[in-house]
Amino acid sequence: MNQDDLKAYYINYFPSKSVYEWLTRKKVVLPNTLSEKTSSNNENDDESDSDSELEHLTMSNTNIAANNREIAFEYASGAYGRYLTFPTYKQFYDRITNVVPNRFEIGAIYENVPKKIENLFGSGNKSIGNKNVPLEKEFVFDIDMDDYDPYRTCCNGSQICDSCWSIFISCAIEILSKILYEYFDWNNFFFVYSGRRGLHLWIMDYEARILNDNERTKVMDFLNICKNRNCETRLNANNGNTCLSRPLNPFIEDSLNITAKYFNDLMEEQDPFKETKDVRKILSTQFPDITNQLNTYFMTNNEQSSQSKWMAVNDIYLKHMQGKLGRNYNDTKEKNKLLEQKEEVLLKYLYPKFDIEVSKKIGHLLKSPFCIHPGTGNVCVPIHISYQKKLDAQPTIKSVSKFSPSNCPNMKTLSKESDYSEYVDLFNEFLAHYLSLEEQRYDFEHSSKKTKVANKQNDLSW
Amino acid sequence: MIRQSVKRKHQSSSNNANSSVASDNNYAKTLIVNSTANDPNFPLIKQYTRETSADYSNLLTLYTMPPVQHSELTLQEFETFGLDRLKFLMELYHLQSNLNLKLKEILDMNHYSQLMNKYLKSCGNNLKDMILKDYYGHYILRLVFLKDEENMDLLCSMELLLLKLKFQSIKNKEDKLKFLKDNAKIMDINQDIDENNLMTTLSDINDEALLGKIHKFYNNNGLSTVVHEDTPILRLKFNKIIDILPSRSVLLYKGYVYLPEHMQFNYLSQMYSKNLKQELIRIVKYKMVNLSTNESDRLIPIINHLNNNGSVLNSYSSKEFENTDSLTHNQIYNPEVYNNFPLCMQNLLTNLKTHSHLKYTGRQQLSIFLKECGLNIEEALKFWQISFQKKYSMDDFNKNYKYNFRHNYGLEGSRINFKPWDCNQILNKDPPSNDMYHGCPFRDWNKNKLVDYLSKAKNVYTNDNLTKFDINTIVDLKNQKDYMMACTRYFEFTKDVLPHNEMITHPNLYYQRAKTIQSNKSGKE
Repeated sequence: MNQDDLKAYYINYFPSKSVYEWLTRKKVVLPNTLSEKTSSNNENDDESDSDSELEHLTMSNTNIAANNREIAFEYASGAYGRYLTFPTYKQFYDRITNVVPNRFEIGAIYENVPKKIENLFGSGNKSIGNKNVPLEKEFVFDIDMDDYDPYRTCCNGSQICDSCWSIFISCAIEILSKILYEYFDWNNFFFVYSGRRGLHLWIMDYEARILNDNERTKVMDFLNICKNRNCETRLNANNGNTCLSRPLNPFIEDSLNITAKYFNDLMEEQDPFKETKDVRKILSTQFPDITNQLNTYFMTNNEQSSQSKWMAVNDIYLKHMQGKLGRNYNDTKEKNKLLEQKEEVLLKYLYPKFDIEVSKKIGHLLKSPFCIHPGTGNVCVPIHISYQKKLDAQPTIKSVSKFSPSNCPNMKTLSKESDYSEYVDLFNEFLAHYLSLEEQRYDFEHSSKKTKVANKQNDLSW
Repeated sequence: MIRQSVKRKHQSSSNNANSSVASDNNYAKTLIVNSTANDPNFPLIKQYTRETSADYSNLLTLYTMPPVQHSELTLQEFETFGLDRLKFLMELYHLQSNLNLKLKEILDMNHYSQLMNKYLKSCGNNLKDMILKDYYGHYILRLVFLKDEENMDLLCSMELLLLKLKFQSIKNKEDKLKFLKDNAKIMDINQDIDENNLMTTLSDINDEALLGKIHKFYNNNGLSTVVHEDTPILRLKFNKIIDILPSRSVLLYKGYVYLPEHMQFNYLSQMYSKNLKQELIRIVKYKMVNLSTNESDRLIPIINHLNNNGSVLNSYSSKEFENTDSLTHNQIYNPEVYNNFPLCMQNLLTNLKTHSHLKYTGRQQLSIFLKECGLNIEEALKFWQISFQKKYSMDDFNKNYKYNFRHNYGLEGSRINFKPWDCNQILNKDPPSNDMYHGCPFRDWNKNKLVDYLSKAKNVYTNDNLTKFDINTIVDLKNQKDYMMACTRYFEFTKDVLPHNEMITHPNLYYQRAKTIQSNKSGKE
């Protein structure tokens, strides 16, 4: 990647102030000197005066989110620097524009300033008293498109196209949004295109941020119904026994309804059963005869569309059951079995496939929004943002509807196109809301404990 | 001061004016129960007043009330009750954690009822006696498992297992529900419960969407209706009951989990284990002040004795054996040393000799074991270089393997001082395929090979062959997949019995115990 281009990006386009405010959950008040330097892109409050630098410094000393938030740089050389911290915005901005990292990743906020523990015995020998506990970090999810390889026909590996994006990723976004509001009651989150083949989800709700490793792991075990990353052993592999117990947990049922909306598009656009030689890959039945019949059908009608192959599953199954059970073929139990298996096919294809390792550990690093993906030059842009404007109101959802990987802002073409600002605006709008929520929370916590101290801080307020 | 007055109160009730006279007739009760019971600084047990009487009619209990009314206990009983409880819990825990049996399997295979007969019914078939023994055992072990946090957690998980088994073994559904109802106060007194975490009923819920989900999810499982209009539903913030989430058997909605009656036990048992841990921590704090005084002195040796037995359960930790001894590369095949190695390591060494090479997993298993036995890095490099020299030149060795061994000693890369693998770790690795020799011979060798080997084995000290019975014992254990026990028996047949019914759970434990026996025997001669 061209260092000069990247440097120009960090200076001219990268919304460093917004990102820093997002990470530290506090508005940055810029002293005049710095604001002049960066005013080409960032709008700054004019009210900042000579006192504000001092104020900014004193504020930052008490802001644990700024002091103890881990940032990790991937340098141009390929070297990797962990446990960097930036107590002030100026330090953050200066370092990024001077060092010009390929990208940087975001870690947890720790109890103390995170430092790499280096001594003669290496990092393995941390003494017990030295534990630096991670206090909070956004709950993050990562979905990689290559995990969908067995289910998509358009691309594979790290490739991605508008078709697989609009089917698989859109479905994942819809399902996750639904689950997060409806079942966890979380409203502040956004989805980010990672720049190449993936999707990141950042959840900012306080309750989600303070989950510990164990809790994150348990939540992931709850959500991750496609257990194994080895695709063949995902759902529906249990020799005809469906894997999910019935009745379905309501969040799975809701997800299923969403997948049904996308399944037709999937059939039309991806023709997923085109090459299918063995129906057991699609669904397994408890009756080998049915599997054989289906296989024969698929082989002899190879030119047929996936739609009609999928329909044929019903016909053949029911005909077989009719033959087997005689006039009892209307047996609802048997029909349910088929239905359940077909439901699991839908989930197998379209339910989000998480890279759960990213989510399980509070200290896990994830690439920051608005970084450049080193491989593609794409900007890692937020595309779908949700937040609750008023308590008890339906969450507000904003998304860049026309987004697809092919029109993702790219470092090389940024100067020609102006679309980029749309993403920054989207992020800023969310940020303003987020910061006001944090302010409320901060005030509430402090006023309930120490009214006096809180009053003092209000006097100094920004 | 407080202690004095407490003591007097109870001495008068038991009419034993001078409790400092040591004899078997002296009562141990004071320490177990009363020294803490009336202490106002002891908030968790504050509710134990003599007016509240515990319900001794049921074995299923959360031990909210010490056996104050049945407080006569001899020192002898104190010891046997404690020891029996310890063995009871240890054996149950062994079934779960080492044999990986599920609760249902432990019950179905009658392990639970057998152990119950062995350790609880031993004092008579009278239900009340059993219940008392159960109570005493529980409270005695509270004094034993206080060594460190790990120790406390162990007791909590063992007691939790027992509670679950007790609950599962009850067949009558009504009794189960009664137990939950009676103990609902545990949920109420817990500080985790706030106004949002409440017992509610369907008729109190207004959210239509939620009602629909509750009905559909809990009442639609083909069984009879589980959740009625007025059955209690426990509403909890999801992170309060996080462990139940992965089963997806509960309804989560808007950040809250809705627990119908039949699932509340899970929550209750978690609370029980949490509370038990807190009480243990309080006992430690209290003990520092009070346990050193006169009459308690008689109990301390017993508690320490129990504690030593309990520490058997703790997996081998190198702390236990301050490793001062050293080993040189040319001693390893020396029978004096070699005979002290467990079978898995002998297996690796034999194959290392024949093939002049070991694959990665085998190298790891052996080299870190030898490191722990006292082979330093210089000696280790010598040993491995010589072992490999038929196939690899010095240059090849340095290029391909030196780093690996230095890494194991924490001298390269992440510089972690690697701990030797214990039996569980060894058993959790993939079993060896062709040309691989790591793992556990009791699992990985087929029956013929094992029998063949065992029939040639001799007791190192008596030079006797193993008897047919010995061999069958080991093979039976192999068939039951109880490999650590098989190894333990092998140790005993080829050397000597282990103290305190100790079990081999770590190759280095095997080595250390073998060395101890060796030095004892040579000392006697």
